[in-house]
Amino acid sequence: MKKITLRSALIVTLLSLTQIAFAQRGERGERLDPNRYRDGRDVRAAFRNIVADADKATVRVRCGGKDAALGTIVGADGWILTKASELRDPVVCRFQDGKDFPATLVGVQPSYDLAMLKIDRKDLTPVSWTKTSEATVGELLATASLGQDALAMGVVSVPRRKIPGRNGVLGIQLDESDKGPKITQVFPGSGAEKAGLHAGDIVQRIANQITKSRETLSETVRSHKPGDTVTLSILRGDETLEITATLTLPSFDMGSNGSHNVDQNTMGGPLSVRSADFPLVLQHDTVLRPIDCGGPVCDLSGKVVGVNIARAGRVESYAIPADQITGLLPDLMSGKLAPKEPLAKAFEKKAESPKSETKLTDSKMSDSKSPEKK
Amino acid sequence: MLCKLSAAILLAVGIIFGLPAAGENFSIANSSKTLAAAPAKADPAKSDAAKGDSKAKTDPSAKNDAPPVPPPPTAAKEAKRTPTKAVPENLDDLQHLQEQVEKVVTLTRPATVGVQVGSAQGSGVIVTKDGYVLTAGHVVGEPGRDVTFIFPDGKRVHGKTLGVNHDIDSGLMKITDPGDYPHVEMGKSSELKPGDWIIVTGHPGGYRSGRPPVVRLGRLIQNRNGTMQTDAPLVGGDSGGPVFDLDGKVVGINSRISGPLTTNFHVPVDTFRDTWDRLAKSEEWGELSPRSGGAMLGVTVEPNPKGCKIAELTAKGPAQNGGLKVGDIIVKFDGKAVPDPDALQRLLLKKKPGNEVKVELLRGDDRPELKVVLGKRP
Repeated sequence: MKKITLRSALIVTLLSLTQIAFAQRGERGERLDPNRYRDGRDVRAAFRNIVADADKATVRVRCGGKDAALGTIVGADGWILTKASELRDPVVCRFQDGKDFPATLVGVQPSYDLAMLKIDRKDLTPVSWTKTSEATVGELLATASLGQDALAMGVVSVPRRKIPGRNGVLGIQLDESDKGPKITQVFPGSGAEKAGLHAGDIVQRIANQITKSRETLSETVRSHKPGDTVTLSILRGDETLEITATLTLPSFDMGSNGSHNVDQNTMGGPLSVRSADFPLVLQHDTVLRPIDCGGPVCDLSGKVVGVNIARAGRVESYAIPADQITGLLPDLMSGKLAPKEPLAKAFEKKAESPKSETKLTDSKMSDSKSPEKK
Repeated sequence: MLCKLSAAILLAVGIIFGLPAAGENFSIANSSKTLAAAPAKADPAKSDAAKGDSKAKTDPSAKNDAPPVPPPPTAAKEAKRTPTKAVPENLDDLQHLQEQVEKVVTLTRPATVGVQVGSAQGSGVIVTKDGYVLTAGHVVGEPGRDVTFIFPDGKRVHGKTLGVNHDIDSGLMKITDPGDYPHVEMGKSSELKPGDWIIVTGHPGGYRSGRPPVVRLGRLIQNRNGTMQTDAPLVGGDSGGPVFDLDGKVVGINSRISGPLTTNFHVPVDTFRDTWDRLAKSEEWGELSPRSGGAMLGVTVEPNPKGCKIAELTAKGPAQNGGLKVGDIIVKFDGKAVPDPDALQRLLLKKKPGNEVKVELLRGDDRPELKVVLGKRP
């Protein structure tokens, strides 16, 4: 996996060099100075005063000697909020001055993937939360850092919304037809194949819902988790059949057509392992690394509008809105949400090689199944 | 995996059931080659006049004639916006930028649509009241296909694909359900300079109900003849979605990406205006680039007055296995005439490995018709 990414980076570098060569001959060949790119040094510097307070309330969370996340100071006497699924023992919080403080995990809120850490300090400056629960699409945002400037800038991309958990898939490709969505392809190894669905079948009902369009069908499937079964009513020639299929993760072979969107989403950098299934997030276009989640994100007034919780795709990062967080803080601090298992045990899977990513998602999904809230 | 190694990836997505996306992942293998200059500018005055004439003449017999081609929407008037600094320096500059971005979002969102063509999904933007929609060439695919357009509120209307320029990846569609549609003005892409702020929208991963077009902000990195590069990140499903300047005028259409987050490529809007007549008349031109994993016939052909003459055959390739011989002239492929190698290439690119295709040949005085099972391009 890593090797391939490196190779692609190399090829792209070559390409952009060629482009520069072309550009010099072209009429409008000027290229923007990379310092002036959206995330370039010069642009980030413009946010320096805006993020100054939030920078003071940001720590680097390190686990086992490695950067794991950022943390947001939420109480002067040592309370630090961060992204739960990135943690494993031992946890320390590093401050702007480079000093490390050991941290204890005191609370975990799984549906938002938030963890409360406690360190032995009483002189901290907590973040200043925004009072509003609105977010205007197009509003500028800046993510705080341990440095002087913003870590990165972005805009609100979508109004606040729920992010569903990763859904199960059937493993078919569809086209519209007069009588309903028509299966054009069944992927080998998929739940659809195992259930005996064929290309040419027309889906008339799924889980007792009439499937007028492809979207009704795909939304119904998306509302189910891997492992769930759905019953489809199929028109095959003149026959109507009832077929029950088990949904799976999209891990079967989709041939030359397959999984390329996953690739596209990881083009440009890795994604958070836990990047779906949140009750309410603010989607923005800030470019973050997974290890930069957990820190505060500010509006232009310098108020903190949320805490980054996931790098979810090439074009999307999620933050948990401030009003949601402030409501959770008392329980996270009181011990009411104290972790049932010690940290090392609770998150030991995280320590495995990146190969275990799919597995992790798997276990997460079955975890999130029981406390499903709507 | 293969697509990761290629220079740039087009951004339409197929609907694979329940998956956010997958599908037509072909790459533009040689982006410098695909950036051939756009055809000469049409004279807007002339095409106006021509349109007036033809309308007058064809109106009585309009039933069996193709509808008259309207002129391209006129270019936006002089930009009135306050110029932005090369780099925002302080809170005032950033607040000014934010106001402009929010205004553009409000102004343009109703005209940004999701599009579904066959099993592919992309985005588009409406530029006339009667429903002409700019999109990417690879979302159109070919003229005459049925399209479903989805508005941000979930409302759906129907239409058709019109013309496509494969060289530059521009494409046009038309909503055929009658109505007055929200639309945006076309700006002038030639006036954009590196450092100009732009806003891109579209439907990453395909349209999702309850999620309006996804807004991103970036700066123009380079504006070469034929393509614009920005650092506003794109992904599959954004194809055909609009790029706006800070006045809310569409200046480009999302097309493709390569690895780094600063390599997002867009079709400049000027080319749509310059080739409007051809696009609106459903012409298809330009060369698609073959991709690894795509369908392969296994021949080298040369132009011939009667079709495509086979100069070489790949040993044990699909064509040879199907009985084709050097010297045969391919006149029809999959039931469609192939007057030149480009036409054959285009038809081949629409096929998949494993497809069985009818090939009509001229062999001496014979006209044999053979069946070839297409192979997979390595």
